[in-house]
Amino acid sequence: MIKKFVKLNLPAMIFVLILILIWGAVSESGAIPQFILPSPGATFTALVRNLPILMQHSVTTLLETALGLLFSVILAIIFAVLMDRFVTIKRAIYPVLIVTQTVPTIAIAPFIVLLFGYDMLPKVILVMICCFFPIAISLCDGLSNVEADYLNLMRGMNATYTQTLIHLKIPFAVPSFFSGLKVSVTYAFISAVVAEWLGGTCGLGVYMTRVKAAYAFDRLFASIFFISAVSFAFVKVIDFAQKKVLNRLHLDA
Amino acid sequence: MSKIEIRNLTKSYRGRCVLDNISLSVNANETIAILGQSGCGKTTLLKIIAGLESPDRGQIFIDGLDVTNTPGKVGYMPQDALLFPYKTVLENVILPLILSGRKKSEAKLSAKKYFTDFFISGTENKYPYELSGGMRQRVAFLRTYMQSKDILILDEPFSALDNITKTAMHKWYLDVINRFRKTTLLVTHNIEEALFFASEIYISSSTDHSIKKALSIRNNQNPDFLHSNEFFKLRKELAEGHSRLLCRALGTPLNYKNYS
Repeated sequence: MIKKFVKLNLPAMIFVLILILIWGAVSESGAIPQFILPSPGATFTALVRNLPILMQHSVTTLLETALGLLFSVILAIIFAVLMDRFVTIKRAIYPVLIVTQTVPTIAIAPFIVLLFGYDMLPKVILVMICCFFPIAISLCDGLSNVEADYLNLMRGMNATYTQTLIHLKIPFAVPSFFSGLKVSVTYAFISAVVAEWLGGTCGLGVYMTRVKAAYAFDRLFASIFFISAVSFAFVKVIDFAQKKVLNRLHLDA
Repeated sequence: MSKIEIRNLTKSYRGRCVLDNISLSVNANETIAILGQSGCGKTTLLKIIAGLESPDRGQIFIDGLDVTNTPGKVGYMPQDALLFPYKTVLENVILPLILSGRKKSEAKLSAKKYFTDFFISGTENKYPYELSGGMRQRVAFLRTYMQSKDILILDEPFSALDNITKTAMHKWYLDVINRFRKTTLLVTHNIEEALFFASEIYISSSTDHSIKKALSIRNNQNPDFLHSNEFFKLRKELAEGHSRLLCRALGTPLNYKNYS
């Protein structure tokens, strides 16, 4: 198993190592001053030293992310079912959802903060806005694209829409739901951090703005790595959940 | 009065005629087979009878009542078993009962009685992926049967099975027909299958999109029928009729010598 893991991931590991070596070389050569581009070693030291404070701030950001994700999943399920049930609603909402996906988080974040203040609410809302669309669209596609033969089978048994939804559409749409959720999760944590840049008292975004103002770029780099690691962990958790759920439903074959 | 009566059924897809003025009737507790090559509209006909598709013209009557475009009046079994992979065999089988509002425990109890007859006992808590092709098909049969309809509409139910499984399934199904007498409309492209199960055989043609009665059979529902002279005679008769239609569709002259 370890052999297989190494075989699969060795090229990526070598590539990352090369990138770090280039980064180290550029930083050590003095081409870019060390206070602007800290060396990999300095960044690693800053990461280890500041880990407790990063953890402390990350609790707030994680809470915002989790709440935002939870609400976006609930909202996405409601919208996806409505769009699947009523074609007119789908025709009205679906194109708008696609277009709004192209609006960058950073562009709407100041407006959300202005509307909802500096506490947790605007951050949760921003995470929701980012996560809602991919889940709603994937889930709606999953619900609508169930095989026609299965739908005919249910119609032949006089099933109502709700019965078809429960017994057929929802289970078969689970893989689509997870692919949407995976896209959302990648952005969820970053969105919360971006929202925190614009104001607040704690959270990783707030910490980043503080260390940036203090020109402590080693700590800024350390926080970037920390955020990447947390986002990666989020994706892995969803991956694991997806595998477990699909396995349970025997839809993984 | 016929159990099922089909009157002047016509259906086209994007200007292409699939069924042209089809009329046929099936008596109660009788099995009729419709034979025909792929793409001649057999499945469309079954879907229209099951109320899953609308005809352009014509009507379907069951027990004298117009049921055109009304789903849920017959037990319809599609070509594939279409079992739900996330439900156990028992959960799959009781689905029609659950959908009609029966309690789960009650539905399980009434379904379990049939597991032995359908040769699937012991599979109640298994998932479809754990079953062989023949077993999956029998589960689908039982699910269709659980709809408790007087009429069964079967769309090439044995076509996805290998020959050995198919032969075993034929014997089993003959027993099922005799035990649970139902009016059955069977669509197949297998001549032996049609001869074995049906009391009347119709041939469906893709040239003029018609379905015509080919022959009526008696005394076919015993295992020895398969080896009788009558069986071989009827098979030849049907094959000739079938190949005549096929040759007409392909535009080639008929040569019986090549066929036998």
